[in-house]
Amino acid sequence: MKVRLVLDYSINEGVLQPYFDGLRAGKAIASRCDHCKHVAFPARSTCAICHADTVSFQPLSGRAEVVHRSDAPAASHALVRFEGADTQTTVALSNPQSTEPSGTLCKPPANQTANQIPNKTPNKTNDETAHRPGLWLCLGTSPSTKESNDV
Amino acid sequence: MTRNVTIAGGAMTPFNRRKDGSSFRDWARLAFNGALLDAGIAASDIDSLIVASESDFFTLQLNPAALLADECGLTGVAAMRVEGGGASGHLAVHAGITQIESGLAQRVAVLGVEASASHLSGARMGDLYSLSFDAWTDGMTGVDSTALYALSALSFMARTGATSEDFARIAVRNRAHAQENSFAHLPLDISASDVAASPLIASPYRRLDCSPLSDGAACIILARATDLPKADRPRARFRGIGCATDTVRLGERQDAGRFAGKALAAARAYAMAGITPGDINLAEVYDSYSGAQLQAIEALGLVDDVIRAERENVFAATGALPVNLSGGLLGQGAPVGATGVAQIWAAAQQLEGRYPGKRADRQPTCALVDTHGGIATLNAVSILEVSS
Repeated sequence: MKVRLVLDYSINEGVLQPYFDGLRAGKAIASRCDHCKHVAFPARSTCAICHADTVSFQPLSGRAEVVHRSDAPAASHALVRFEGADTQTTVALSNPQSTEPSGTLCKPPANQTANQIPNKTPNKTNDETAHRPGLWLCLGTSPSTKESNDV
Repeated sequence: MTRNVTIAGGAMTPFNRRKDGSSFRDWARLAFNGALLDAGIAASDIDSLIVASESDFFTLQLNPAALLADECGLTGVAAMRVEGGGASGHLAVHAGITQIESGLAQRVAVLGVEASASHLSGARMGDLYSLSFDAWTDGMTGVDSTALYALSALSFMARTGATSEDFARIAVRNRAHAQENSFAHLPLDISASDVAASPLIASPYRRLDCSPLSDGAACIILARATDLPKADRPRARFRGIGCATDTVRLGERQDAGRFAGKALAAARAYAMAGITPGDINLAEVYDSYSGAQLQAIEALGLVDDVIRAERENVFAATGALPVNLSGGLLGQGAPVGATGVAQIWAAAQQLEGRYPGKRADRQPTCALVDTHGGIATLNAVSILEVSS
């Protein structure tokens, strides 16, 4: 039997909404534990170190150093540390042809539709992609508007 | 625990991409009926069914435990479904052990089933699997399973000096083991140069470093020996079990290449069993990727220097600690819910001296089975021995 299922989710982001709003605007907003001051990016709703459940939000520069990167024909990903954060995080690279060891957070490229949930229908515009709060890094000394399409 | 929970019997279907028109319901029935036959009991002897299945998205069947109880002629039994990503099957076995140890059930059928290969395209399966990590970070970014394992492996390589050649040796050896396993998905006769020449998926991993998406089912029946007919063969039994989680995001781990949650699960299992890692002489470990086998063995504490032991063939059938003689996930395959059940079933038969595939040169007496979900995020470990 053949079955086709299309699901459009609308997921509440709860206390982490400031972090996701930041990503949608191309800004890095970290959480900072009110108790032990641990800075997490991506933001957390509870502190991973002291388990306090009150955090504040704090903007970071958006600059990140690459710790390891993994390349593939379709996409490149990296483990990076954002300036000012006590944690590392995994990101997708918007300009994988660059070999620069650092970069800046950027919005997802407009053509970034592969390997994504939900399945895109071909005639959808960029609206959905623009609202998908992914972690993308543009390698180089300054954000490249040409590569990251983040303006 | 009491060391009274034995494996009464078991069975599995072939793990592969089904092209014969059979359904996941057929595979489940086949595995269940085979396990009953092997145990020498009837469906009416079963009082609890525990189904392991990772995702309703794969089968388009919610509430699968009730459905499969009906399909297997078990209507009326207690039933539940257990899920923990890749560890689902192993966790279901732990749930069954708990039911017997607590006296809630006498004879439990643990039935793992998954349609990971033939229902959806590989790309859509990859999309769904990428929600196995933190769906709000890696899932939204589109960081898939192979990329996460690759980044973890790079960190492991930087710390330990492991090389792609070490990884390729595992990819080759597990497929060679699978050649003696008639249920295996990838019984391949390959060399290290074949691995190096296979398409790049996410550096350092190439296609032959990755386990396949498989269809299939596996079932084991758990009971105290006193609740079973007399057997003319030894039965494997559980001596210790452990479960532990790690942070869901790789970047928050102190060492992205170290499987710390697995180490914790193993420590709990060793403590419950009252043994040390040196007592283990056979292991089935979760080799979702070639390098992950080494990362797992390191976390399980099975040897002092995992890279040296790998290079000295300690983990071959002829070595002191044979690993993944079934072929592992790389060779036998990985229908998620069935994977952990099949790993335990393979180890049990090795201990009972009746494994139909590749056997250890020396008869093992104490086996460890290791399974995880996520990237060693939810870890389940069991230690088995053979009753006299």
